[in-house]
Amino acid sequence: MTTQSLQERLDAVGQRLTEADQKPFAEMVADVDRIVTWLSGADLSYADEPATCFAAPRS
Amino acid sequence: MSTDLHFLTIAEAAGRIRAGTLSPVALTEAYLDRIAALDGTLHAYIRVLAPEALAEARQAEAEIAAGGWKGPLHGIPLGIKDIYNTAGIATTGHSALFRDHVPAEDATTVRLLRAAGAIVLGKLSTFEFAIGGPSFDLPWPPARNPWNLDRQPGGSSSGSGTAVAAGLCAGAMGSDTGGSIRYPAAWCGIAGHKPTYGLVSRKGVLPLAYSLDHAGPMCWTSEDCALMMQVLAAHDPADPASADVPVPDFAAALSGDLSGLRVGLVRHFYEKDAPSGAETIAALEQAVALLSSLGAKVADITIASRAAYTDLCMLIMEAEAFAIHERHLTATPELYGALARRWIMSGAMVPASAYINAQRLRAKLTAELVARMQDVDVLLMPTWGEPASEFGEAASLRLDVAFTMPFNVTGSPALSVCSGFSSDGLPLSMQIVGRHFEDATVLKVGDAFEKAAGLRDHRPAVPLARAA
Repeated sequence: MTTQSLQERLDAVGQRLTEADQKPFAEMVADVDRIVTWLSGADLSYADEPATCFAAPRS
Repeated sequence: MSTDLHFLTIAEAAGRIRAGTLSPVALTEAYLDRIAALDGTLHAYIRVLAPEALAEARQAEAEIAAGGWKGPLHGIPLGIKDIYNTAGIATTGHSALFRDHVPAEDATTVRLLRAAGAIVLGKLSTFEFAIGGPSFDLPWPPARNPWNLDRQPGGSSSGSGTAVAAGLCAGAMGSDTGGSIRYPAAWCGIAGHKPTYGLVSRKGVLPLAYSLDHAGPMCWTSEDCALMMQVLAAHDPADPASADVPVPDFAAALSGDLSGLRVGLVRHFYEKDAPSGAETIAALEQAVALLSSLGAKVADITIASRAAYTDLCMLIMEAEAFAIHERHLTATPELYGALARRWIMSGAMVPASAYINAQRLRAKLTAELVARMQDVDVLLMPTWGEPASEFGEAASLRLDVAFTMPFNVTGSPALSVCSGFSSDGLPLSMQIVGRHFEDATVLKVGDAFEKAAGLRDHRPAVPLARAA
């Protein structure tokens, strides 16, 4: 990912990068993108509903 | 049993206090003296509450003398991670952003601890807002590992791990979103318990990721964690995730009897998925032999890959953290340290569909684990595959050998205990994971192991000046 395209993505969500942030942040975003790609191929059916944020396992 | 007051376990101190042979004031003074001597080196505390703690100790002493002993935490000095709200006392999240944040109320857990007679010694350092890593660009320095001052204590509950190991408090509160109780427990050689999701209230704790955050105790022993859990486990209508379930007698469950206990050894985690260090594996194998000698039946078990759980945890954590911090990150990014800023900002890159699909897959993997655990009572694996890293770049957190995140994803109870020591004297770790709401079983296994292994007599010798 180029620094420019990363900045464009950040601009879209109203965030700014410092000079020092750019390289380590690009690495973190590359990892996010890897997980997003993996999830897009996850074995999920229509019946697989999400875990909810506010439900304890047995409440 | 230690002869130093600051190295008494909670159970030992409670027994003496109840018998009238130990004064809560003397115990509090011993910790305050220890903090004064060592915390300029260790940096476990952001704020020491000396006058307040002594006043609470005098009150506890008077109550006990009048026959009003409230239980094992009465008169016990504790440290509180500085993401727990404390009424009238700054709760900073170790961040310049919240330097002047003074809550009006205690977090539910702090209120429960105070009601049980515990004394609040002070507020403990953390990774900024419980994410990122040890940072040197914040208003307070990061905590140091008391076993070796050039090593990290782990985090995010860094000060909690350091303070408990070094005898700067009898026990502490930590929080755990991806391992932040168990990771510093592992690297500081103490016991840290992440309860079942929903068992301990998070109300009044600065959130990092709502669906992954857990509050829990960090102590020198599993027995002490059980004593704190007895106070902490309670239904709280003010926490939407709080479960209304019966609370067991955690201390009574510490029988030491592991006869018939079925242990699933998650060998693929530490041999194949994320190969661990030889000393960590050797210590685990010795622990398996010890547990077997106590009556446990140990067999290998296969669950989903460490990577699947860990990737889900990371994505969900970053997305939820960004949702929480977006407003402040947009308005005042300069008030965050670089590590927390980068980690949280990466959540801005997560599409909504990916977040939802992560939660869908999470539900599926959790159901799979619940089914697998019908055949075993607990799972066993290292907590962290290597001992404490030196200070340095964020990569030195060694997330590549972390085994904690799977159980934030599933909400399972998980306890880290010290399994031994490396050749250079650093603590090694082992994690015990149970079925939902069977925290008492997890603590029973940790307690039985600790008492049989005899590792709890070895404390760090903290030098008064930091190594060059």
